[in-house]
Amino acid sequence: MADQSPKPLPIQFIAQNPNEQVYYLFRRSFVTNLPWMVLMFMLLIISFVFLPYSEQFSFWTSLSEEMQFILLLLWILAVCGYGLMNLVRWYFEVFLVTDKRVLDIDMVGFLYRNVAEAQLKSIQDVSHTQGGVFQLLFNFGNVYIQTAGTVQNIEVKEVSNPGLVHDIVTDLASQIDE
Amino acid sequence: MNNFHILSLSWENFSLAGLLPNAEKLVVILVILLLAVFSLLVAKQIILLDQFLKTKMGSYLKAAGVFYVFAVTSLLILSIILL
Repeated sequence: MADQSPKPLPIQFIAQNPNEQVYYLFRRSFVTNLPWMVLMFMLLIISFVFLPYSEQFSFWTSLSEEMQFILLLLWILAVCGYGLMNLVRWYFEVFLVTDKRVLDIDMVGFLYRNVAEAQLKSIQDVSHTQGGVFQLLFNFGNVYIQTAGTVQNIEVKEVSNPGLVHDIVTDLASQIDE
Repeated sequence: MNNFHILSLSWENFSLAGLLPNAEKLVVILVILLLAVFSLLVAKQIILLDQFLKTKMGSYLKAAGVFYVFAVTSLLILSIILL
């Protein structure tokens, strides 16, 4: 059951109107970060596990000490960059619900950004899907918001507790209609 | 092939090793240069995203992005000096 009197969050976004208040902010479930976090951890571990045994590899010993040092730093920085990129992507891919509209910020890859918005009064239908072992286990799924006219439909991917998000958006849209 | 001689040129003159004596070092520097360009794009994207959605954590991420550019640029300079 959604809170009937949502409190404004201390969040501001660039397209915010003067009297507009952000009620909810949702982002992808933190569990969806596990694959890249595990991969990043393994890639970092590989470099430290490799070092003690590096003398067994002729290609590595044929390099100068300076080159080995630079390559090790390059590897660590590349892995850290991969981690930073994924963290930023998770953090800024948000779904905002204000007292007037909903906004969905999606990133495809890292350099392409898609921002979709819909007025609460134009929302016609809200649905959500939740399936698969992980989505059921960690309670996350997709929420779909259909809007009137030619406005782009909004898809909120892998959000935590999709049933609650569905309920919140439906309640706010119905309050606007009344 | 062994008789290929025009104006005293032979195949031996076209050795890549002769043209690029430190090819592997150049490749490493180029890879770091690419990473530096990529880090700049990452930092710029973070700054734009932080402008779009102003949060406290966003400013920390922005600082991390700037630090990452600094680290990669330092590595680039270090590689040019050491290699």
